[in-house]
Amino acid sequence: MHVDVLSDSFSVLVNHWQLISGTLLILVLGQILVWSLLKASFDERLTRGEYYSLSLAGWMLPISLAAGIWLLLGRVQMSTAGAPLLTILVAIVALSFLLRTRERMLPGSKTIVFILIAIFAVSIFLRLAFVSQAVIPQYFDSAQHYLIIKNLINSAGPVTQATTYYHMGFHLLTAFVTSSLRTETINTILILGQVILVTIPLSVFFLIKHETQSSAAGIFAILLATVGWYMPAYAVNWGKYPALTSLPLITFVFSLAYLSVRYRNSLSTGKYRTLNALLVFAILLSGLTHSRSLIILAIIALAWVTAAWWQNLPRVWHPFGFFAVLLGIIWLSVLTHTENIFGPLFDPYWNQGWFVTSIVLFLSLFALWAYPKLTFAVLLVILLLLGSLFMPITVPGYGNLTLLDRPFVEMLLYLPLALLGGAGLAGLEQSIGRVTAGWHKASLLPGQVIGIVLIGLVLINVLNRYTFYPSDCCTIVGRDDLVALDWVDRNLPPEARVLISSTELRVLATDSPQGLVSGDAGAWVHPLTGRATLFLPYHSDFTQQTTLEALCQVDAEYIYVGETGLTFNNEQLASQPDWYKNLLSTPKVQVYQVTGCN
Amino acid sequence: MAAVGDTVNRNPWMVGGTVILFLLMMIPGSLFLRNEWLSMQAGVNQREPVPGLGYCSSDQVTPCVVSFSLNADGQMIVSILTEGPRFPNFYLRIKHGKGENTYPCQRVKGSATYVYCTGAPLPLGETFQFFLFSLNGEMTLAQGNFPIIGMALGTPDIFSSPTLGTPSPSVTVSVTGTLPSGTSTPIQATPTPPTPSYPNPTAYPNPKP
Repeated sequence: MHVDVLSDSFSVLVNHWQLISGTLLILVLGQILVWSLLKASFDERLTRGEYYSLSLAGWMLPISLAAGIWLLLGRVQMSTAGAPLLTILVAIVALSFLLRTRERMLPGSKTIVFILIAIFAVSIFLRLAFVSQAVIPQYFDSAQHYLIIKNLINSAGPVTQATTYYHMGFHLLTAFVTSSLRTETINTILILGQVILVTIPLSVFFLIKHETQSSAAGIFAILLATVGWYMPAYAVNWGKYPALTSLPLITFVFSLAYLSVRYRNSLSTGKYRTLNALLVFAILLSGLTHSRSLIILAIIALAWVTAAWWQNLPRVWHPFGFFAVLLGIIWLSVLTHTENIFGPLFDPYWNQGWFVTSIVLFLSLFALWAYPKLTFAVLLVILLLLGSLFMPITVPGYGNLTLLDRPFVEMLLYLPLALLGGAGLAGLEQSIGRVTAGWHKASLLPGQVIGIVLIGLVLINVLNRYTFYPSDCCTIVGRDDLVALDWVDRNLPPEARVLISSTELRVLATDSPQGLVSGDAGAWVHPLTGRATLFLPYHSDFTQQTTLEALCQVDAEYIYVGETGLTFNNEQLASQPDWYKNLLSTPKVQVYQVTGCN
Repeated sequence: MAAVGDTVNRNPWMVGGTVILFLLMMIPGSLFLRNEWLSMQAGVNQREPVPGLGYCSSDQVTPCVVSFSLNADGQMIVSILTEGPRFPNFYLRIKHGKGENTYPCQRVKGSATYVYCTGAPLPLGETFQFFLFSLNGEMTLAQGNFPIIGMALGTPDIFSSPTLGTPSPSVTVSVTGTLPSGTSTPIQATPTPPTPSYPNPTAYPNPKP
C-alpha cells in the first residue's frame, strides 16, 4: 500500500509537474513577501524556523491581494493577460525584498528550517497520491466551488448568481492561479487543495516553538496536525476547500495577535503599526475565505483573555476554574453524543483516533504544569467550540442557524489538540529535565528519548491507519459520469432543464434541514455543461403520476441518473417508457427525456 | 532540560530521524524508478511490443475500456481511460467478421484522462479486435481482443434505497445553483410532509473504520 502511495504520487508529479511547480512558486513568492514584512518588524526576535512557519501560514495574503487586483482589472476590462503579468510583478517585488533583507543574519539553527522544509516536501509528495485517484474534486460542494471559480475567470462576462457567494478567498486564489499558470480549473482545485493541506500543520509550529522555546515540541505539534488524526486533511473529501483555506489563516492571525500583544512595548511605533496592519488584513482575508473563521478568531480571543484573567486570580481559585472548564467539556461531549446529528463529531479523535488522543491527554497534564495559561486557553477554546454548536443565531436570509456547524468543528478540533500535545511534550521535557539534571554525560537526554518514542508511536499509527487516498464516502462522480456529462454538454440543447437527485443537508442542531444538496454527479451538470438543473429528492417514486405531474409543472425536460451516491431509481424510470425516454444508456449512468407531459 | 531555544545542535536525533525518513522514502522510490528504467531498456534495439487493450480493472493499466453505451441515436459510445494528457490523440478501429468500423474519439472536457469514441453499434457477446491508432502517423497505441459485455441497461449502484417500493405522497422540486445557504428557491409541486418518511443520510460522512 505504501509503495503504491509513492508510485501514485510520482505519477501525479510527472503528469502535473508544471501545475505543481507553478503553484509552489506562487506560494514561495507569497511566503517571501510575508517573511520580509515580518523580518522588517521583528528582526532577531524570531528564529529562522519561526519565520518559516509564520510566513508559510500567511503566504496567501500577498497572493490574494494580487488576485483581488487581477479581478478588479479584469472587471474594468483593463487587462486580458493580467494574472501572469501580476505574478511576474509579485516575483519582482518578492525578489527585491529578498535581496534587501537576506544580508541580516537570523538567530536559530538552519537545521530546523531544513527539517521544516523536508516535512513540507515529503508531505506535498505524499498528498499528491490523493489526486491520482480523484476523478474530479469530491462531494457536491466541489461542483459549486468549480462553478464560482469558472465564473471568476470569465468575470468579463455576465456575473452569475454564484459569484455573489461570500466565501470568495479560496475561489479568488484558485482563479488567479489557474489564470496565471493557464491550467485546467479542476486540476488546479485538486493540486492547490493538497498544497493548502500541507501548509495547515506547519503553521502550528510557530506558536508552540515561541511559547515553549522547544523546537521538538513544535515539530511534534506539526506531526499531530499532519497525521495525528484523519482531520483536517479528510475534509478535502467533503470539498471543504474554503474552510480548509481558512485554517492556516486562523493560525496566522492568532500568531500575529500573540506577537502584537507580546512585543507591543518593544517594537517601534512604525513597526507596530505595520504588524497591526498585517493583522487586520489577515483577519479580513480570513473572513473573506470562510466567514465562520471570524467566530473561531473571536473564540480564541475570548479564551486568551479569559485565561489571562484566570491566571491573575489567587492561586487557590485556579483549580476551580480548571475543573469548571473540564466539566463543561465533558457535559457538552455527552450532549453532542446524544444528539444524533453530532454523532460523527468525535469520530476522528476518539473512535478512530483514540490512540493519538490518549497520548495528547497524557501530555496535557505536563502542559498544564508547565504552561497553565496556554493549556487553560486551549481547553476553553475546546469548550467554546462545542458550545457554539448549540448557540442559535438568526441570520437574515439564512434563517435559524447555530454559531458553528458540526463539520467545521469536527475538522477544527485538531488545532487545540495539536497545541496541547506540543505544549505537553515541552512540559514533559522540562519535568524530566529537572529530575535528571545531573545526567550530563548521556548523549541523549531522557526527555529527548521520550520525544522520539512519542513521535515513533504517532508514525506507527500513521503506517497502520492513515490513508492519503480519496474516501469512498464522498465520491459522487464515477467514470461513466464523466462521459455522460460530456455527452450532455454536446447533445442536449443549451436551454435544457435537467432534473438531478437531491438530499437534505443537516449539520446543525435544529429541526429543519439547512437546504437541499445534490446526491450524485448531477451536481456537476450545471457547472460543467451550463444546463439549468432542478432538484428532486433521490427517493422520489417515478412510477407515480404525481411525480410526472410535478416534473411537467416545472418544465423538467431531462433526468440525470448518476453512477454513484444518492441516485434516482433507474428501475422505476425504465419501467415507464411512455413517460421517460432513455437517451443515453451506459452501464451505470442514464440520461432520460421526459416525454409524458403532452 | 531538552531543546531550549534553538538547540538543534543538541538534537542530533531529529536530524537523524529526518535522514532515516528520507532513506525510507528513497528505497521504494528508487525501486520504482529502477523498474521504470528496466522496462524502458527492454525496448532498445527491438520492436516495441504493442500494449494490450482490455477492460479497466483495479490495477489501473491504461489505456483500457471503461464501458460501452448507447445513445438515443443508436450510436455506440466506447469510454476509454488513458494515462493522461501525454497520451496522444487517437481513434478506435474495431475489426469484426464483416469488416471493420472506425470510431472517432474525443477527450472529456476538463479531464484529459477520459476519452470516448462514438460510432456504429456492435452486437453483444461476440469477440472483436480493438485497435487504438494515433491520429498522427497511424501508430498502433494499443490492441486487444475481447467481447462487448454490459452494453445492455445496467442496474446502477444504489447507495441507499430505503424507500424502494414505498409510494411517495408528494414531490418537491427545487431550482439549484448555490451552496446550501438557504438562497435556493424551492418550487413546491405539492405540499411537503412535515417530517421525512425516509432516513436522511448523514451529510459530510466520516470514513468507515
